[in-house]
Amino acid sequence: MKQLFKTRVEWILLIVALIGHLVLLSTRLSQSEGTPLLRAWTLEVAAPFLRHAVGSLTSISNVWRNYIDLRQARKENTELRTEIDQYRRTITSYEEKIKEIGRLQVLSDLDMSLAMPSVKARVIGGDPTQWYHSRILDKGKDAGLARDCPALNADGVVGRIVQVSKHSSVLQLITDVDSGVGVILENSRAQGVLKGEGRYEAFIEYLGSNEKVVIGEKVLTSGLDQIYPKGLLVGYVVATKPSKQVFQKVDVAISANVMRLEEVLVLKKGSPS
Amino acid sequence: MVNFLRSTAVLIIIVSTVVLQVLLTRYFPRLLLDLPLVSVLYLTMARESLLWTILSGTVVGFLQDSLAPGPLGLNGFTKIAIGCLAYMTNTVIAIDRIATRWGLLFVSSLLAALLFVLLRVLFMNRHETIDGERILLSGLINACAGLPLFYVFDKISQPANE
Repeated sequence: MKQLFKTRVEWILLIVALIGHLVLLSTRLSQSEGTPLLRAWTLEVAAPFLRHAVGSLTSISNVWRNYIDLRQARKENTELRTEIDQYRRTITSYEEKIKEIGRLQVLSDLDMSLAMPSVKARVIGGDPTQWYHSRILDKGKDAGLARDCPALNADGVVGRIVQVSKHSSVLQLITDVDSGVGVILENSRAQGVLKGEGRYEAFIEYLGSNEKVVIGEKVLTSGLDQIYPKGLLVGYVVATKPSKQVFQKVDVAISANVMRLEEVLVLKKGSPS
Repeated sequence: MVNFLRSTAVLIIIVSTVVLQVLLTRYFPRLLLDLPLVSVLYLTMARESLLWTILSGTVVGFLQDSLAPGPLGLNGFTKIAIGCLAYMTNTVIAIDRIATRWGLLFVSSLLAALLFVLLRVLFMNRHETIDGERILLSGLINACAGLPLFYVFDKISQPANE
């Protein structure tokens, strides 16, 4: 059997590292505002790589699509094929642009209708662990974003900013287990807190058992959490679980497709609610 | 000099696993693969040094925590602790066969998930429900994907004539 620990130094280092991480964890509990400097720097360094990587992956997928298109036109002569390929490549890129402009137009319309200062941001990364529901955005403090800025798209609320660096930020989705959104039901006006269930689903808790909840009823932000402005669409009631206890649990289908986010509209802090 | 360059290359690879994980979850949000954990386990097995486990666990954990909404230290602690357990197991049982490697990856993945939940309960005062099905599935995926990844890491970190 090999020696368990080769030197005492390794043993000491292991204890120091583990304790160091526990201290990090503990210190986090006392800080509720702002992003620690080291964390902001890491985010700042990682964001450009992600931005370029997403761009490259999009180019690769475009090239692949064009290759498939080329195979269908193999009977045509080489010159014509090249020409068609060029046209197709251009068209594909235009189509992508048109789709993107369409999505941005929807966000712009939303922006106008909300009449609140906001920033359009692009999703450049997903969650680095399998435990949270978060996205990395390409806008940060420079664009006026701050912690707790709410984010939405044309279909409804998607989440809030939880970490910010100069040029990028981390968006916590409303389906994250640590997320909480103050919500109100459109018709019954019953209020509760929308919590993420970790599987891209959500439910309302702290909703009185005596409240009548109708399937299909709209769930809106209540504004009581002082993060999300009042009256924004969050989702629809899909199931109720009546309980003899004080509160009932209500399952909600999130109206925005948070799994397929590409661009979001982030409302700046201090937006009137 | 060669050793230094190889060590630098290995460090770059483990940092790349975090970047790759972020990109993969950008396109596949339901992905249950934990590439950074696999890379830490690989280094523990390949280098047979606790120093590499501590170093890679700290770097990978810090990067993951920095890019996620959770507190700093959560992933770092998990990675080091699980890496250390894998190291100790490796000193008792020779983990060089496919079956033992698969078993180690699977068990390590389960333990990492349970430790992560435990830390969240202890430090964040959360009432966590353990999603057994998800944890098991994640363990299977990490174990199955880990084997070819170990092979790829071997190819990258070792020269052709070795």
